[in-house]
Amino acid sequence: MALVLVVDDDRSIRHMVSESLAGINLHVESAASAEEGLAMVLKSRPDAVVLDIMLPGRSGLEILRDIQSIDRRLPVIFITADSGSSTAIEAMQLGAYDYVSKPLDLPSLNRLVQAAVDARRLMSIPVALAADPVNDQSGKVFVGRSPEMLEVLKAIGRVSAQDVPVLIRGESGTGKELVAQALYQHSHRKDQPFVAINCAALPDTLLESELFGHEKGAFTGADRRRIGKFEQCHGGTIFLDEVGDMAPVVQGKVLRLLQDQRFERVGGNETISTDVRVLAATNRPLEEMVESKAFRADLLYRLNGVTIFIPPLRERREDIPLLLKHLLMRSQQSLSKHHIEGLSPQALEYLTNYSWPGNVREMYSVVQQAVLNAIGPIIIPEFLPRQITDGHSSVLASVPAPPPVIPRPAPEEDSGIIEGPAIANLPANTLDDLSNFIDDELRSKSTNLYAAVVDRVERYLITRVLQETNGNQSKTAEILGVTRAKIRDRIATFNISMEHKVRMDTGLES
Amino acid sequence: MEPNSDSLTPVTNREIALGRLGGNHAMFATLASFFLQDAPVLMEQLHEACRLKEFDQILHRAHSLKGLAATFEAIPFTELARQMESLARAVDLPSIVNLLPQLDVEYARLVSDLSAVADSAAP
Repeated sequence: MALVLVVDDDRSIRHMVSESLAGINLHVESAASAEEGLAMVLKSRPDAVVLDIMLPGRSGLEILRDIQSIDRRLPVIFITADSGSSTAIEAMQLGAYDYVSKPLDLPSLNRLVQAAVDARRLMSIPVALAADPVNDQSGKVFVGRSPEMLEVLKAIGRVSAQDVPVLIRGESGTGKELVAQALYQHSHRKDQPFVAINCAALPDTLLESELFGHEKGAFTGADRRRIGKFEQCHGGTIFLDEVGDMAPVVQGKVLRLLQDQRFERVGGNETISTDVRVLAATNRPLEEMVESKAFRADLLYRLNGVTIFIPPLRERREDIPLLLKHLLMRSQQSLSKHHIEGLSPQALEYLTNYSWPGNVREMYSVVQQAVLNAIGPIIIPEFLPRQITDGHSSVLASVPAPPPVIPRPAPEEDSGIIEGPAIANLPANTLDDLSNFIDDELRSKSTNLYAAVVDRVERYLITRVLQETNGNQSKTAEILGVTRAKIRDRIATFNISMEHKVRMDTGLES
Repeated sequence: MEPNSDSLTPVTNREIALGRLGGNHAMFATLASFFLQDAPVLMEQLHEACRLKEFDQILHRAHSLKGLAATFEAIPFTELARQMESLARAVDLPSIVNLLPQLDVEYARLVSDLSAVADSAAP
C-alpha cells in the first residue's frame, strides 16, 4: 500500500487528510512540524507528501528544497491558505507537484494525491533491459529476442544518456511508454521528475494550458495563474504521448521549446526558460500529416532527430511464445491463479497465429481473460476469447471468414442513399456478463479489477455508440466527449471491424 | 475597516462544509470538537500578542484561527480573521485594537454553533 506523509501543525488538517486518504486505501503518517516531517521523509520514504505551506518557523519553500535534496522525485502537494498564494505559485516553479487551498475539499484532494502516488510509481518502477523475461513481478520488462526487439534495446542504450529529443513510433499497444520510461531511467535525468502527457486525451486549449500553464484571466474559468508541466518539470523529462494529435498552435510552442527551451504561459507576456528533455510517441503517419498540413514539418524534423521504431507483434512472431510466457507469469501473480501451469499446444497455436492488431496490450488482456476462464491447470482453446479462436483475424486463413454483421434498420427514405458502415464484432462479454465477471474476479481476489472492468465497459460502450452513429467516428467522439484519436485507437485495440455498404436508388421504380 | 456581519449571516454553512468533507458527519463532529479545544488557546494567545504588540504572533494566530474556522464555512469569523492578518502585516495597531471585540463576538457565536454539533454527536 502506498504511503503518504502529511505535515501540518493543525491537527484538524492532519485528521481530515489521514481519514480521507485512508478511505482510498492509502496508508498515512503525519507530522506536526517541519523537522518531524523531514525526519519522516528520510525514515519512511513516503510515496507523496502533503505539506502545509506555512509551518511555524519555516517557509514551505525552504522545506520543499530540503525534501528535494533528499528525493527529487517525491511529489509534494502544498496546502495553501488561498488559491492566489504567490508562495504556492513559486513552489510550483520549484517543482511542487500541485497545491490545494483551504478549506480542503476532500474528494478533490483524494484524486490529486492518488494522481501523485501514481506519478511516483511511474517514475520509480525499474525497467529492465534483459532479452529474456526476468522472473521479477515488481518491474516491467522488455521481452524479446527477435532482431527487431534487439534493435530497439540497442537504440535505447545508445540514446538514453544523450540529452536529445527522441520520437518513439509504433502501433497502439506496442510499448511506447515503456520505451520512454527506459530512456528516462537510463538517462542522467533519472533522479529528476518524469511526466507523461497524453496529447489525444485533452482538448486543445486544455493541452496548451497543461503544458505551458496559463495566467489568471487567460480564458473563461482561468481564475488563477497555473504553472504548466514544462515549467514544473524543470531539469526533468516530459513524455508527449500521441504527439500526432497535438493541435497546430501547441505544435508551434513545443517547437520553440525544443529550439530555445523558452515559452510563454497562455495569456502571458513573460518569457520563461526551462530545461526539459522531450520524449514523444505516436502511431500516426506524421510524414503524411505533414503533407496534409496537419503536422508541422519543422517540428517533425526536430523530433525525428532520433527515432526508435517499435515493431508490431505480427512482425516479430518469434517473440510471441516468450511474451505469452511472461504475461502468463504476470497474470498468475496478479490474479493469484498459481495453479495455472501453462498453455495447451492447440491454444498456443491459436495465439501464435493470431494477428494481434492491439499488440502487447491486447495480448495481456487476452491472457488475463484466459487465466480467469481457466477451470483446470492448462489453458485450452475453450478458455480463450472468441476473437482468438473464431478464425477471422488469423493470418493463416486464406479467405477470412466474414465477421458477424449487425443488421441496421432500412432507412425511411430511399433516394440515393449511401449507407454507412455496419459495425461488427460486438464483444462477447457484454454488460449482461459484467456482473458475473465481477463476481468471478472478486472470488479470485483480483488486484486488477478496476482496469479489467473498465476495459470491458469501454469495449461495449464504444462499439454500441459506433453502431448508433453508423460508424461515424467524429460523432462517436462527440457523444462520448473524447477525441477522435482516442476512438481510432480503441477501434484498433478492440479489433472493431467496420464494413462499408454503398447502395444507390436508381429511381426507376414508381 | 470593513463592517462585520449582521446577525442574518449564517455562522456556519453545514451543507457546504459537509460537501467538502465528502458527506462525513462523524468527521464534521470530530473537527468541531477539535475547534472547541484548540481555538480558545489561540484566541488567548492572540489577545496576549495584541497586548504585547507582537505583530508576527498576531499574524500567525489570526492565520491559524482562519484556517480552523474555514473548514466549517464560518464566513463571518473567517473574514474577520483575514482582516486581522492583513492589519498585522500592515502593523496597524489602532485598527487591530478596534477589530478585536468584533472578532470576539463572532468567535462566541461560532463556539455556540459548533458546541451544538459536538454535543449532539457526543455518546
